[in-house]
Amino acid sequence: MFKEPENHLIVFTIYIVIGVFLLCFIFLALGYMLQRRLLRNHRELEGLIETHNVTIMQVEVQTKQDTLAKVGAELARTVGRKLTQVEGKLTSSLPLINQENIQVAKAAARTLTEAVEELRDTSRSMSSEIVRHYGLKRAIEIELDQLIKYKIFSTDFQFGGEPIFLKPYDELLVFRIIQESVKNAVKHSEGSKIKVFVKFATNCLFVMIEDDGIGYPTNVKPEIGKGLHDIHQRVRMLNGSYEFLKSDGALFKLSVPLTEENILLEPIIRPEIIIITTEA
Amino acid sequence: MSIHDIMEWFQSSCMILSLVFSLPLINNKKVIKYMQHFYWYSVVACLFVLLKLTSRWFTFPSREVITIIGNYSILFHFIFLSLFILFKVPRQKSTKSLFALFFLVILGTLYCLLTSVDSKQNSLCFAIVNLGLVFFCLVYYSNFFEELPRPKLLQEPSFWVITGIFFCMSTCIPINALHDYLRTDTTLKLEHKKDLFSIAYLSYGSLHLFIIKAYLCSKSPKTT
Repeated sequence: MFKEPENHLIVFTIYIVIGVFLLCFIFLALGYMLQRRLLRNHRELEGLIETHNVTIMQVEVQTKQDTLAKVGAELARTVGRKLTQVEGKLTSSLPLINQENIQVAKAAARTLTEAVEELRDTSRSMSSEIVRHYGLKRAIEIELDQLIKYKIFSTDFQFGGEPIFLKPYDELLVFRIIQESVKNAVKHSEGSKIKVFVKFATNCLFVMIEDDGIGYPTNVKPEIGKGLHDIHQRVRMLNGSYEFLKSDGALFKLSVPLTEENILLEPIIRPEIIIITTEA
Repeated sequence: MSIHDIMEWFQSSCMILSLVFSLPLINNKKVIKYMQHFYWYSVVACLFVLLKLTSRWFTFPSREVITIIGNYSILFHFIFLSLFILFKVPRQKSTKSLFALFFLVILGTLYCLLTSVDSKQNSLCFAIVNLGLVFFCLVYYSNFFEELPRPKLLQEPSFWVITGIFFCMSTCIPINALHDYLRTDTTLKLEHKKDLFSIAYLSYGSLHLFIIKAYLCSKSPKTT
């Protein structure tokens, strides 16, 4: 239909229109491909940053862990030994002390015994060995027993669900989170009772720590202290979540997903431990 | 039925369809904010189509009146779409110059409309407006490619609207640029001229198809 010479202009115009359309299409297609590539690079970069942050966090937590264990062991080795020696010498010299000063000397010996005991408990609590050897449940019991032993708090510990063996490092992280929360409750709650509830569900580990203290102030923005920072880091490493709620006192809730990455398929056989608590 | 008629029907159907698809967006708070009032574009386009159809079947309004309305509606078309694009362009130092260009195009269009003596389609106005809109689209794309990548690009209504404008206006520029020349060329047959001008109908129809896609994306909660 457009073969006549006078219609060449129309054909030319049609070609221009088609050309413009194709140019626009190519421009957009290239732009879209560029966006996709940028998106892929951006995601890769984000992934690298995340891996980098997690690695730094892991190193930080591991270093803290090692430092704690070393300080605990060193305390028990040096100060503990010295105190034990002083205690031994004082006890052996008791028959030589005259009647007037014997009561004071006996009281001093008793205080020394308590100090040695407290130091040993602190050292044990700082070490990760207790979790590795006796497991999470027993480690929590021992930690809470300290509060009863020194008449700081009364405790209520409940353990529910079918226990699942976590990998040692993850178990230690959970223990440290509980330890830190309990420590926070003791330091800030002004209460007298603390409840710890640990439950293993099918795909998740739930932990609840509740005290009967003053709770969290509602009108003041909570400050992120070192303890909270540590909790946050450890929860992040476990890929879990946590929240602080206000009940009668304060309530801390932690949930950790149980995946193939953090559970052990074969159970660890652990010895039974008997903790002898001495009344203060 | 000639190609011209088919294309005209295609354009009219697309405009009516876009109005139909815009109806669920009216007073709908779940719709993305910038798309909440976009239905006005479809409403005005549909009104114009209705007027054109009425002029075919009845003697009123006459062809001349329709052409004059069409010439002046290009102002609404430009202001509405360019403001839509400009508000989607991130605020930068160049925003002032973009708005200056916007007013310049409006002034140029107004001048062409007011100085035009005949009641024919003012293709110069159309060409200026098309160029202005294509330029704004390019500004949008340049900003958009410099920004952080968007993971849900194909679900963004603004992307579909602006892509539609870009395609439509780009393909209309050659037609509008040659419109007056072709119209006055006596060697060409009228039916061939009409067939050539029907490309514009195809472009405007496609623009409304893109707008329909944008309406469909606006309703999706994922895009918020």
